[in-house]
Amino acid sequence: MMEPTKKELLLEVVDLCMYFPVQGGFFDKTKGLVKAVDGVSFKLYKGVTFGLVGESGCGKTTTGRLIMKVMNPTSGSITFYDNELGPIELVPLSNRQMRPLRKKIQMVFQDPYSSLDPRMTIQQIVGEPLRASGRGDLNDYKNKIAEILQKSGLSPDYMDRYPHAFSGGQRQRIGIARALVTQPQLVVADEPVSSLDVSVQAQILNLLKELQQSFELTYLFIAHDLSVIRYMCDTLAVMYVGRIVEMGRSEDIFNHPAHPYTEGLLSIIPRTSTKTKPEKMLKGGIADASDLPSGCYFHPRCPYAQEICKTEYPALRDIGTEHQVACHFDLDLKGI
Amino acid sequence: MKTPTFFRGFHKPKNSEPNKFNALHSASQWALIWAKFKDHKLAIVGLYLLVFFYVCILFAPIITPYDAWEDSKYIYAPPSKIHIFHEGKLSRPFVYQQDIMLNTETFERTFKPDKSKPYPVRFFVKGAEYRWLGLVKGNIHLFGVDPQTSINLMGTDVLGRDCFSRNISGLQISLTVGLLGVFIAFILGSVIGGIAGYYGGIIDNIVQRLVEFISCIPTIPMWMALSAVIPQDWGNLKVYFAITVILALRSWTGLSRQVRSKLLQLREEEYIVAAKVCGTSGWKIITTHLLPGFMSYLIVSLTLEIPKMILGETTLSFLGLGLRAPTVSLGVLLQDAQNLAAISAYPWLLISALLVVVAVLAFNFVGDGIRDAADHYKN
Amino acid sequence: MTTENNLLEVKDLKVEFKLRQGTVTAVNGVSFQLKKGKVLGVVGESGSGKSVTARTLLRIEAPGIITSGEINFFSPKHGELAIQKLNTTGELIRSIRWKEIAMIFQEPMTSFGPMHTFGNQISEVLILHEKVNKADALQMVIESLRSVGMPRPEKVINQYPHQISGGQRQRAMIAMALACNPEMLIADEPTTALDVSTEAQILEVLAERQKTLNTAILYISHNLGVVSNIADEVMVMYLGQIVEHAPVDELFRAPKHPYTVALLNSIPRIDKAYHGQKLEVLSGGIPDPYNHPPGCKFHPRCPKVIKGVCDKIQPLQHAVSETWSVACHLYSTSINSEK
Repeated sequence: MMEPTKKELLLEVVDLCMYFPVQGGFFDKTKGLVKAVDGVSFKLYKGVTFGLVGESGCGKTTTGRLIMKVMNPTSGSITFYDNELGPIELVPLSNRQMRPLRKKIQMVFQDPYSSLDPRMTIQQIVGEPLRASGRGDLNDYKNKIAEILQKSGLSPDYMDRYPHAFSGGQRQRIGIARALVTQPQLVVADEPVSSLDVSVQAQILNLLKELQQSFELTYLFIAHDLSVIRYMCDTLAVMYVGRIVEMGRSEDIFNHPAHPYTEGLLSIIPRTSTKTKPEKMLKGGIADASDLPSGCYFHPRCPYAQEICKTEYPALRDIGTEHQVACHFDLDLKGI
Repeated sequence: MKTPTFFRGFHKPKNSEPNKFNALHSASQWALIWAKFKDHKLAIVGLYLLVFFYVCILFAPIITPYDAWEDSKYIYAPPSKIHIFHEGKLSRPFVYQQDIMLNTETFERTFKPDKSKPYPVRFFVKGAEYRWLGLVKGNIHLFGVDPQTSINLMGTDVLGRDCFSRNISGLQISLTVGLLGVFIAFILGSVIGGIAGYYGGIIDNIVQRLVEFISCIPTIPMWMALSAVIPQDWGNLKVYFAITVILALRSWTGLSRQVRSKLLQLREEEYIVAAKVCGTSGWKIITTHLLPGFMSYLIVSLTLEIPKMILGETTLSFLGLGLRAPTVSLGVLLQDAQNLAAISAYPWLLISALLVVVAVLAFNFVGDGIRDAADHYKN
Repeated sequence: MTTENNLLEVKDLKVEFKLRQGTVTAVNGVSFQLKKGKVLGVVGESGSGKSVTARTLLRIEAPGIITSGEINFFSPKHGELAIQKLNTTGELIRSIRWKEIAMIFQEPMTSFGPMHTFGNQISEVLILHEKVNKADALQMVIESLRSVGMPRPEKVINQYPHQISGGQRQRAMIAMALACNPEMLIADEPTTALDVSTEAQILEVLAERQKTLNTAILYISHNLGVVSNIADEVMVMYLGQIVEHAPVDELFRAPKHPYTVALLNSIPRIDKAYHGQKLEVLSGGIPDPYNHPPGCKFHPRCPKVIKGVCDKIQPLQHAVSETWSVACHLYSTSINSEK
């Protein structure tokens, strides 16, 4: 856990929005907007792992990609506090202007198969960020790759092999090595273990933790699996259809959730120690982002919903130390 | 530093491991494709046939015993029989001189071998003069017989020209028209398809509608219209180029669609996003990730496009719309076999059709083989 | 174990795949029984052979080949059937599929044809197996959709697969599988592609239908939590073999096989604060399918490996209680007494 005294801001996201037009009809008329990310704000402190959790369609992956500047947001700001250059506003930067910053913000992808170019050797794959920022001395380049491969748990002897020679877990190590070879300050990890086997998943999670310590990394860790989030993250935000519904320190959220959606999610995680109680089940499905319910998006599924929930979307408000929730009520909810 | 427990399974391979294993792991995409291609028996047969054909046409003037335009007194002579027994004794391969006899009732020519004197088949004989590849002058032919007689492996035609020499020369045109046409179609298709796929939006829309329009036009009338534009007084070479361009103008559409859809698909691949995140520039992404990514698919569609070109040329020439005599192509040769009487009396004229079928099949087998091998998601 | 309630008995089943790179023994000597109305969970990572085992029971294992073993199905209609001997395209196996043994898959989108409405696709199965007319069949489809908690089933029968969500499609799949009231259902990772809240609902529906209809289920999953919620008994598979088979509560309370222990420890627990602690992990990865290790297949990764034993001798199933067996030398009485 972080000491509150030495908190240093690394990334600040304010009111980030990403709307996709829905096209339909004969002449591609815009029918409406899908609000994939709708007014998301959070702060990332150095050395901390910040989790974004939610079910599919909640906007967690889009948020990650917006921070990576793979796409441009509809509105909002993303400020990166570089340790040499000071605060930089990322949103207005062009691709060319963004390029020198790429080595400071890196990404680990979900699918270890499609994220590695099958036509490149491991050396070429891991060296790609180095080459993009000017390769420099050849020996130095090779040494850097060998070193990061070693640290990621792969033998540098594998450098001339192609991705097809590796298993899913090893491929993910290659992906991690590529993200870390330029010694970035921020790493966005988008579901890095969800497509791996159970026993390999744990290896990768431990590796990520180990590398975080040795490189003083900050992670934005995106996942749908709450147990993985609990293991990895110091602070986290729960998202539901494009908005953050609850945000706070990991222990607070798991022990004292304040949003009914968080409570629901926690109670239905299938676990080996206890059986899931059917009365705790979350009703219905996730709201359709192109046809949102009025008021609080969660109200049709919420067991505590009142009249006000159908008309007004609750603002995110403070309810404790660094604990925020978007709910009209102070509910007494059960944690794990 | 103590190795953490989870690193244990990934130690470097033991030295006792066979080299083959290592070779497979560091095999590039192309090496893997080749390894899989070799398993496709028909494709290998096709490949051998194609290599054989192209070697033949490369050395066409040397392999053929006669000039393709040189007429002789042997009109509609059937394929020469090569003998090895003369008067019951084994000797080197030879032919007999053919005596021509005219049936006065039907005016049909019949050929009767004069068995008195054998004419041995000689190798590297002097014969008609030629310029190999248009450059090197020569008169040495791979095989031949004494000028008093003649050797016609595939018979002769109406003017007594050697069909074997004419078929090989025909292959020369027919098999290269495909390559040249595909090359033009490839450039048109990949540039136009690439632009459509890369930019998308309105440009893509316009290109797609254009492609649909061109694909809608019935092939043969379009060819007819286009070849009607070719001036009658153009020389052989000019007509040849005009035909390839006509063929290419029709077939780039399919290629451009494939390039576009592959590009659209590849753009979504996560490793392209990864490259962008690494700070790789747009141009670098195209040249190092996108192009190699669909190269194998392009090669497949190219190999499958060539036989269509060959058939297109043959069809055009057969209909009298494409190449014209004195140019020799398989289609031009087949014009001689247009009527039933000719086919029944001189079936060897149909060997040209057989060559078309074999060449087209060979290309198709090779194309299938590459496609199966390049599709690495299948296994 | 008593046998009179058995619905299915699998004995020493072996399934091989002959591929260009070599032969893969996907299922290597698997034996188990499934009792009427019980839920047997099958847990394993990739390459464990859990899906191949399931597919073999319905004889859709191709291109795999059954090289040995028996699959005996006690059909109420046909009596005892040796499924391994049936022709994979024959009349008999086709009358068993859906009617007596149904199967649901991971991806419900690919299990339904995109060109037909749910009503048509599900009623087709009923018309084929139950010999009812179209109108009755549609009525039965609506009933069966309602029984799996599908909202507005009258509307859904006129919809196409792409028109409803993944969770609803999986409900429709369950409705279709249970429409003919089969004796047995094979569920191959039916909730893996779904969100947690939908997953919980689907599991609930499945459990509820199983109790009402008394259907036996073979439930395959890589998720131990899911299996512990639905199953009565669990088999843990590793590289085509069963390493542990036990009643669900006992297994998860005190697993015996080192692989099961490690698997349970390597999952981050939702109800535990880690405070910087590391997960206990299994070393190494799952071996290459063409080169399985000799002896016990788990020995290269096993923290409790006995040198000279585990790397040479393949362990047998040792019964640690009447209902619990473990394939591990640690539980072998002869080896332990030697020590």
